[in-house]
Amino acid sequence: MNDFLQPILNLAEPLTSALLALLVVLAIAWLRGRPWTARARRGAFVLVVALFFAVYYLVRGTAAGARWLAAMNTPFAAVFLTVVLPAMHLPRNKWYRLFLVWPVLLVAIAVVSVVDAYRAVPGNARGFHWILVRPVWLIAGVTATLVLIQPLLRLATFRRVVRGTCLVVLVYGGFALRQSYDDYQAMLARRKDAVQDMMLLSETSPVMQHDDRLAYLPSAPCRFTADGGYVQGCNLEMIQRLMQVNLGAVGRRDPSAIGALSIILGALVVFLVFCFATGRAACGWLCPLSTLGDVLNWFRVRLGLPHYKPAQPVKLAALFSGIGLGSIALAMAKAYPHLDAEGKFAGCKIPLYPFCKICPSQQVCPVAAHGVSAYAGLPTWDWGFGFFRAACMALLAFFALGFIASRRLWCRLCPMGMIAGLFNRGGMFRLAKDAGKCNQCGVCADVCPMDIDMVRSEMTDENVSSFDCVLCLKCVEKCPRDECLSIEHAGAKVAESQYQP
Amino acid sequence: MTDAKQFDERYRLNPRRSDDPGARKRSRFVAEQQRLLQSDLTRRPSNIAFFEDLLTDPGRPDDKPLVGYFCNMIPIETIIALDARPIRLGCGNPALVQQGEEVLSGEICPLAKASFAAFLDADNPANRCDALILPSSCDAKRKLGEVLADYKPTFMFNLPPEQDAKRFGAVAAAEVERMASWLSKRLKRRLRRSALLEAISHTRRRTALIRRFQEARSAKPAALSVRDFFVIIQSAAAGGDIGAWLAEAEKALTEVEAYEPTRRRFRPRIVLTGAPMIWPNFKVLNLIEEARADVVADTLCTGAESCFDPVVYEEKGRKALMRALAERYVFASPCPCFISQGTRIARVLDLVQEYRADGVINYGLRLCQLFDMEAYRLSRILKENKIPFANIRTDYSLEDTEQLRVRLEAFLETVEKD
Repeated sequence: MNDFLQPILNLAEPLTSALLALLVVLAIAWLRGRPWTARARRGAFVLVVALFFAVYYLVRGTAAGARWLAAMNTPFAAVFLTVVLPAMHLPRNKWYRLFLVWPVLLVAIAVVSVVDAYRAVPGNARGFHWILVRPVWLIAGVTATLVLIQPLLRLATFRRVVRGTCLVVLVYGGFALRQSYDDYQAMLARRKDAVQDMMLLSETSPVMQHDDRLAYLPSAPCRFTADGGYVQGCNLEMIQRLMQVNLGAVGRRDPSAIGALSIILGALVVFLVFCFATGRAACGWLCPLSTLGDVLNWFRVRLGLPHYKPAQPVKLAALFSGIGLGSIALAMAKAYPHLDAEGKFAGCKIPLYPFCKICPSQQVCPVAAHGVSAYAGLPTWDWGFGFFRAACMALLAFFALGFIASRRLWCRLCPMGMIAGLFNRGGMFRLAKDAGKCNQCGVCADVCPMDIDMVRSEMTDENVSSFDCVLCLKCVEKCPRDECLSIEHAGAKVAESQYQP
Repeated sequence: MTDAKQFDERYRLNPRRSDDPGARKRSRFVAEQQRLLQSDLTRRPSNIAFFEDLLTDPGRPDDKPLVGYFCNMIPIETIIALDARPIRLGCGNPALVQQGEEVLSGEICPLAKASFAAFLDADNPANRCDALILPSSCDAKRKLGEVLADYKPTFMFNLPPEQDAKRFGAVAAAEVERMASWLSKRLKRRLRRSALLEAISHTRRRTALIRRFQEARSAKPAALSVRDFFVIIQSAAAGGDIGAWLAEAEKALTEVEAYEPTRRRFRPRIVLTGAPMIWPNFKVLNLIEEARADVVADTLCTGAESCFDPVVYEEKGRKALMRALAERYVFASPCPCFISQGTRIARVLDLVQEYRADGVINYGLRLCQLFDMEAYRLSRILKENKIPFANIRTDYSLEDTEQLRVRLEAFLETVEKD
């Protein structure tokens, strides 16, 4: 099947460019503000996209251009552009059903791709090897399925389904969703010692690592999930890699250092584009760490126990601890090129990924994926004179307590979310409030897992997005006033409050 | 929780009664008169008698305790959850005003006087209550509690002065909790969370019904007279069984939604705001409809607004539910007893826009300073928004009916559509 599709895929390659995703959302937002006719706007939009395709093909003609463009290509962009964006922006009338043909087609291709991969399994090894599917078709198929079922579900149910799906893909994808039979076997071969495997990064390989490209998501799909996980990791892993690049070697034109830098820069561009396009939505909808944490929260809710509403000093302390610990750990990653044979820098033992060493995700995700046997234990006291062990224990405790007792207090500390949070205001998502319909009853502030009061109190500015907002849309879902709260993407209303008994 | 006494036990008085058959007769006559007036309406739901009977006398279908309450700011879900029947005691019977006046004072608003007078008559449904709950929503209510405490076990529900959910949210939730525990001690029943959740789902269904009524009426005002609509709404709080009410209201709603008007309606569309209009005192409603105008929306705490806001909860813990009740009953309320009138003004402006109203009528109850004071700023803001506005200040008596009719007709002429 792949041979048959190859020419089409070649032609459609600009669709996988993060730059096109950026251009398209910017164009949509800009065109919405123009006082033009719908036809003129459509024409301008098509023109912009056609121009991009033309420029893309031209630049791809040059060797260096092709290399740089390829670094910024990702299947996520294609799926975002052709499935998610239309689902958010197209008006929900009868023509919407026509668009739904495309997700159905994608699901069909994904199914065929699985069948194809199973056909390629050698005859002596026939049997169950989980789901063998190329990442691009898996992402397309899963996203298309979600878009197809979305109109049938209430917002709360839909969010639960999306979060569950992302958890499964990102945490169990490492072994259950390998690319092909060979890839699956390679994973099994590496698996001999799960703990050892996870600690030696070079030994693992996430499903989406291929073609010198790294796939990062603006949230916490942990790198240390058993068997390599599905994507490369979270945005902090990416920044640590950036820190590790030996800039001296880059200055000396060392090709390996330049190669490493260009891969990271490509991934960085992709990451920033997605942050711009989706803000902190990944925290509320995708992050496996918060989904796992919410399981703890769910037990508390089931028991009917009250939650702790964090006081302002606690919130600020969480914010500054996150910034502080994050920057210290990221700065330590700079030591990577200067580590001696014992892994020490100036007599201090420093891990390759210092932030990961203190991040609760490294403790939680492997256990979630592989059970207690995969637990590697806390970092020993000799790492960084005990800094890593102490910080890890503190953060792990804060993670558990934050989710059990205070909904999403952890997310106020999480540096991964903070980076995406910078795009909450000024990015493409906007939480909007019609103050004329608001009676400040306080339901939005009460249901908010991040304990944000601004959605209730703001009565003059229509934009009520804030840095901490994870765009979970609980406030939109629960607001008792119809059409009072809404979420807009590039100016288009995606959802709004509507009372249901 | 220690239940501190709200009233000084040393100065309890013997309840005063007055057995005045004349007053009883007059009040029954007023109610019959209003029923008769509404029976002339061209289109009425076939089961409207069910709602009217509830309002006239809910009776006591079973031996569940009755809990009387005033205003729209008492979380009735707690009462329902304690397996009692809530009954709203705000009284609109003009015949009782004078009786109350004779005992209390003439310079109190007619609502407070009439509501108090209901307790003078031992036969009045108000006297069947096992407990009373009053919010401190105005000066008259604040003091009425102490007066009524001589008659019935009474709880004063303290409202925060400002509708600032961040500042007063916890205080209001604690007050709801205090009220609930007082009541459960009084009724010797335990408040179970599951019962509270069930009661909330009942009132949420009521909200959904009222909102559908509202949509249907706004699209085709001829389908249901606002007076019948108010009867349906107010009978929900008349002490009957909420399940039965829901079933009957659903039936009435089906009829209203099924109605297809045969011709366009040219009557002016009015948004009504201001003081509560309580059955059978539908004087102003009668006048508006007789002057051929449609009330398409209202912010009255005895109108659609009383059931418009649902209780919304995210967590099901007792504390969280108390908070949710406080949010709905205290912070969503457009009552003028709070420091800012922003909630009500915003609501009026929004209703005018949403229901394409041609004008706003503010109903001020004589001797109610809160609504009177608010009328000034409301009128200026509406004028700035170029919305025709009429302020009508009256009381329960029928003396000024014809003057009001002239004023209303003149106002409606200015908003008349061509």
